Amino acid sequence: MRKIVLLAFVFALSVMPAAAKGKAKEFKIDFLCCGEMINIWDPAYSNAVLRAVFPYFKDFAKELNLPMPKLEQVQNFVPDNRKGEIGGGAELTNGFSFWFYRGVVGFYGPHSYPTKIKNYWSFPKFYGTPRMTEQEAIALARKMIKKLGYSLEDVFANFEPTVPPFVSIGTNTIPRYRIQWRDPRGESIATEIEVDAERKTIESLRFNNSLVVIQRPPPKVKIQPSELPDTPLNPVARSWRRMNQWTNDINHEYAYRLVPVVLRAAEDMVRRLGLDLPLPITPNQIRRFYCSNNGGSPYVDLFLKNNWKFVYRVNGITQFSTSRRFFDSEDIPFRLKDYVREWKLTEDQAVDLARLAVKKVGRPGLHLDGKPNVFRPAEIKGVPPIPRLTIQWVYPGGDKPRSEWIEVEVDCNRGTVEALRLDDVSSWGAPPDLGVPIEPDRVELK
Amino acid sequence: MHDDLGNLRDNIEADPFFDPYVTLTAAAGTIQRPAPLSALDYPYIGGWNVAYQDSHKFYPNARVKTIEAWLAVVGGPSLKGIPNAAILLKYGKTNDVDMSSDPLQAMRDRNASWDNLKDHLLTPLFRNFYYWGHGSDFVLGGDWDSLTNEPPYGIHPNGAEYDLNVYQDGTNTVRTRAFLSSGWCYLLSPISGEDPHPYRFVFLDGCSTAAGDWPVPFGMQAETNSLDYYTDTNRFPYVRPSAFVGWNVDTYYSAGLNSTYTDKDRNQWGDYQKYAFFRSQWMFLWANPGSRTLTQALEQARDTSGWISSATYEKTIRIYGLRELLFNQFNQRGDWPTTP
Repeated sequence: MRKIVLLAFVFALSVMPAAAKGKAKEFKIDFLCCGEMINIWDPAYSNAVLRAVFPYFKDFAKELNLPMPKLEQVQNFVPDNRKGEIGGGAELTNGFSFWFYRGVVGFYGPHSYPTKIKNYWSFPKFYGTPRMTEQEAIALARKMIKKLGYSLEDVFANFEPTVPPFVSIGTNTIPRYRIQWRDPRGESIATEIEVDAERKTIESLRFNNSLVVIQRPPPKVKIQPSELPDTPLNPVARSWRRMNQWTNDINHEYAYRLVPVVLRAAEDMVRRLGLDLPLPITPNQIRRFYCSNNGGSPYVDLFLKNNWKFVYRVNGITQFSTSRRFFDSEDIPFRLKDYVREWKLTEDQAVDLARLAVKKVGRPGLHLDGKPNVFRPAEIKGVPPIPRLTIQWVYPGGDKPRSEWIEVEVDCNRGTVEALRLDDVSSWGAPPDLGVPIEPDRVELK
Repeated sequence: MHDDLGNLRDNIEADPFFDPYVTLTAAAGTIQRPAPLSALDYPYIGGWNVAYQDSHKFYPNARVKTIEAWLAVVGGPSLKGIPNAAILLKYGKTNDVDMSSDPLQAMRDRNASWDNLKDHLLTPLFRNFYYWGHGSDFVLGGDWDSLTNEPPYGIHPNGAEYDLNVYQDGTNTVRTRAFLSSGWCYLLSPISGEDPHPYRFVFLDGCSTAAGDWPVPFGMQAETNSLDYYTDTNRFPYVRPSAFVGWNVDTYYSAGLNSTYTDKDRNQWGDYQKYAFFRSQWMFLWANPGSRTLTQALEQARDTSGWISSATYEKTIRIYGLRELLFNQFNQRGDWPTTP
């Protein structure tokens, strides 16, 4: 029986009319957590996307002196499966693979190791003798990054890379330098380039999606994908159809009425902390307003076009971060040089600053007197010190359920607060009464 | 080798459980004894077991999303024409969703679903295994919900995970079998197993599955290797390249939509939608063109889903074996010189 009610609920959401009116609807609220899945099996759409991104593949190949790809060489192509993300990956008959994501192209050549290893018997095709040093390979890789129009700093290639040793099979060597530059924010591989040390060529190149700074708007595609098929022959499409109904269980009218409430709360936070965000915040400054029903109370992620971010939870702003945040910055353009500064605050001074900021926006009686946890940026060889600290208070400690969870990122050069999280359960009252229920209408099946 | 009827007995498709006996005839009489078992041939294409424990039923929204994502994971090998089995592992107490009101029948149902998984694991056709459910360093599974959902704090232990009842059903004693231990999986071990049957890919998607010995019974090691390791003919057993994925900590999702749960080690876990989307997107990215390696597909799925940050991901996931393994690489019999 429980199952039936759930299905009815999903149905109700899918047919709900958009009744809300007013200024707040100048933009579209995002009710989907993870984007809308599209029909990538639609040949017309898939071909249109391929034609749109193929010129990028050709430009890329030209810059790296790769064989010029031709459309007729494409043996398969799968577009990105999320609406609005014009991109995808293609495999060519000559063994090359190219992909495109937000203006950035990557590739594997036919001799890329181990990606192009078909089976045990194909190993000998990869054997060879190295004819260049590791430093020469790194120099070649950097040269190619520049030829693509990127600065080494933007992709962290100005630092010292990690280069695993050659693979040897018996007495044979596979002479490939796999040059990896890591992202100082999370230590994941930001840029990876494979150099064939015998032929002195680039065999693969990949930039991580977190390199927002090099991304560009994708090309336009006029054709819309057809509806996802609903057939047992394609369980993935069926699954995606249902994912598209993940509309976060909220009355859309309530969400639209919440917009000005959230904007005013964000402005209040800015004023109380004296932050340098120009006010007022208007709907046309919003990049994404993402709203859900969190068990009877609203939850909102508010992203502004200038990369400031706010979280509204229950009845107030519980988090903000500026466009200068260091931690949790993988969704914004990031250049490390903007963060390399002199340390001017001691750790104690940073803690005092954080405590003061929390007192400005939190209720009296928060547990801020104890020694906080302090977190620093990861240390990677060659990366200069970053004067950023995150100061954290959690109450109560240990494994007990937390009633206060406070974090403040402090710029220890400028002496500013760049991010703050204040989850204080005691301050959570009733959600705003907006004249309509937060719960969507339900259709009960008879 | 041919049998008495002249049928070729050289591969698992002909006879997966060929169990030969050797008959010796001498003046003193005839002696019959079992021939030593050897590792079975790798199938023409290694099949997939994709198992899902129905462990989110205490929170119906999460249940709906995770089941959808599981079906999308099943769809990965399915759309590529690779044999696959979708295995639902029953979970829950009497009168829970899809459970019998009779406690004995509920136990029978749970046991049967885990027996089904074990049967599939032993079937030589299957060489790839994805499991999604409760886990630990040495045991997967459990009978029912021992967790309470207490937003905004996340999830906390509260009670027993196993049905400790023992029933007498006629002459049979029935007790819980709703689990899979790494010890049982040594049946598959190419070194010591009774049914030597190494796997090519294993992803045990549950708590702390990289903290125990799980890679070993499947013929793998808890270490990262490149292809030179696999081509070393002095290695024993000389099985094909493989990969294992697990988590070295307890994993979570946040019960409140869009909220984040932070565990005691400061790992941050996103909500159940993102948790589910990570799985379906990983399979989509790995199984489709673009030649994404296992590591790249997982990393990109993490990025796309937003379930966990890259810092949490790097700290908590463990990818052993050949991290660059492609979706169907070395998954056909002729891809590697040794048959297992």
